[in-house]
Amino acid sequence: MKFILRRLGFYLIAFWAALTLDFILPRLLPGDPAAAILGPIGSRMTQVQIAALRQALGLTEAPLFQQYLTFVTHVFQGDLGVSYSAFPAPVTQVIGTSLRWTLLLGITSLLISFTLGHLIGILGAWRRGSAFDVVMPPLFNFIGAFPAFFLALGAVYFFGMQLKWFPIAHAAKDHLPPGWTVEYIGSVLHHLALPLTVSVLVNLQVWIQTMRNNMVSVLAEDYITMAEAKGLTQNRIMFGYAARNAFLPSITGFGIFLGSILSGQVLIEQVFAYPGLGYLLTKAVGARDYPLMGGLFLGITAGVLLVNFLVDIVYTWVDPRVRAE
Amino acid sequence: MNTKLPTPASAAEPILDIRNLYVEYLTPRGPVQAVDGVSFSIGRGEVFGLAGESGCGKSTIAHTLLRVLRPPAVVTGGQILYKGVDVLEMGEEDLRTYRGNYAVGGEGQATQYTLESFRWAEVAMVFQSAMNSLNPVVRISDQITDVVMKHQKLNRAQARERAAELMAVVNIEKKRLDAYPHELSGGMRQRAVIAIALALRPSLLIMDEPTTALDVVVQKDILQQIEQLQAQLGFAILFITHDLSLMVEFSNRIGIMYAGNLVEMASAREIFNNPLHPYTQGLLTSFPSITGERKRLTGIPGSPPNLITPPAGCRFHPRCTRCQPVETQVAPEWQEVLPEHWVAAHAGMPLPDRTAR
Repeated sequence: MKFILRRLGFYLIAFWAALTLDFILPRLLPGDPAAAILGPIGSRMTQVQIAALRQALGLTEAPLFQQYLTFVTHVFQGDLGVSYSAFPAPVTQVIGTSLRWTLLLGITSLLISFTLGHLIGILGAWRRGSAFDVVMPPLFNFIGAFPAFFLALGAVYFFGMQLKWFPIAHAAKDHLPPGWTVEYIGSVLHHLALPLTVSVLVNLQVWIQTMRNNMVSVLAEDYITMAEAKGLTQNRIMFGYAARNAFLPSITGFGIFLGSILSGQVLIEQVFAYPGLGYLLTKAVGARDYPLMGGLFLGITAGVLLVNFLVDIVYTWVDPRVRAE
Repeated sequence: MNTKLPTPASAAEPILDIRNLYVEYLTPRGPVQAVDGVSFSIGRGEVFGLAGESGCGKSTIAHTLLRVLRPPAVVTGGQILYKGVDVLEMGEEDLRTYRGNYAVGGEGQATQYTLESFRWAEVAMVFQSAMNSLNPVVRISDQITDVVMKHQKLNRAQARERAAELMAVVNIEKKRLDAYPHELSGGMRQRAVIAIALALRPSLLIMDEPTTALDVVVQKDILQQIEQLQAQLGFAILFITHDLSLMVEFSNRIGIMYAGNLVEMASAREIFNNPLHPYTQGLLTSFPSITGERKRLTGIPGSPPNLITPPAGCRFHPRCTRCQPVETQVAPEWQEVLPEHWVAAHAGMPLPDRTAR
């Protein structure tokens, strides 16, 4: 418990640092941030509009400390400003829409590749040198060696453009009203298939390799030999003794991956024009949408910290040695 | 090479009878002859000590006994008869109904063994390092209950009760039952391993360097406890160590191994008072005597041979101080030179004069 509280303290400090950085960065821009943002079209804006924008950005004439307090208050009220590229939608709303798609793609992909990769890794190590072990890990290693965008482009070309089995862009048919209808969900899954498959293929080998290697070293431990001598069933030894121990480093890996999902699978989302956070981030950078970039930065940081905190809790639960003070 | 079998010291019917066992490790550079024609037997309730340097094949024999050898190790010959049933022929669990072996038990009843019913229930093992033989992320209680539930078909509550009993047997407080291995001291961990080993009341307990990782005080404590338990429960022990002084104190009979061969076998007293093989003599001078006068320890010069290309003839000859030309070509014969005292040495080897001691 003390351990968890200490970790929580650490993450709170880290979040505060991120928050402050998010506040300082726009103010470090040379010249007037509002002018920089409005640079390309600034001449078409009236003074009133510019002042309104400055107000929206929190760039008032008030002292810096006061600005900071206002900023922090707004963040905790869930107000991250207004997106410029999707004007006048608030940043939180823009991020929220994309977050849904990123979570759908990212978490499904992570869960599938994590589970599948571990099973292949466990079985490969358990039957080391068998046909399964000789074929499966190297095969996925080979596939995973291709860059994500290459696999994505290949998938778009063959299954999207040539065979026309799957749509090549967006997350659902445009004219369909979103809702829990069979048609809409079917369309979502249809759009999800290609990016999901590519994402799984790209990530699978990492889990296979990690788990297989960890299993191989754990299988050499005395407690595995002892479990065997105890006459326990193969399943009990494989999962209860070997995989249980070999799995520990994967929890940390899972956390890191879960965090990285939030920053989006930029390349894959880009190729499939999938409206997730990664796609949004490139769009925000392209349009110099500073409030959106700031919001994304803060949101991603908060997400990564939260995920790491959850991983710490899970780790404490599965590895008793971490609990010891 | 060992065709004649030594008769067990204690019982007419040995509990374990290893006959001409060969084990090889298949390596890219050729097979390593780790166990090269070893035969010995252990009587009911007997403590048989197996001594020798690291890498002489002691632990390989222990692992072969429980059929937990891993590739590249393979048994290339011999038999391991446990109560008359060949352990090497026992079938896996899923084949039990077809391949179960039958043995005639003491009461004339047929006893069936499969690998599943044999492991731990008949022969259990205490591994070298208690830290490494306990699963670090599973509570001690669960590491006892899993084996009890598997073999004795007890429910969880009964298994827990049994676990508590076993902890009491090895003098660990009941409240430590749900501890994780890292929360126990080294001595406690080894006692917990012994508790697990005794869970199914095996007839034979293999102890592979059970106290090597412990300090002398804890070591003595644990050995005394094992002696008590043995007197109480009557199991036989195969005691493996390189610490000959400890072994002489603890065992009824002792076998000395060198480079995959058994080179000498006799009662503990006989080995200590009248070692015949030059290697045994060397081992005995490698340990200080606590009570005797201070002497310079001589040890054995050189190191064990490469077992891919072992020396021809007697494997010990490159290090032997009394080496004769014949030993470099012809392997010595395993023979009973004195009653119950076996040695693999050449017939012409001069035996030390017992009266001179």
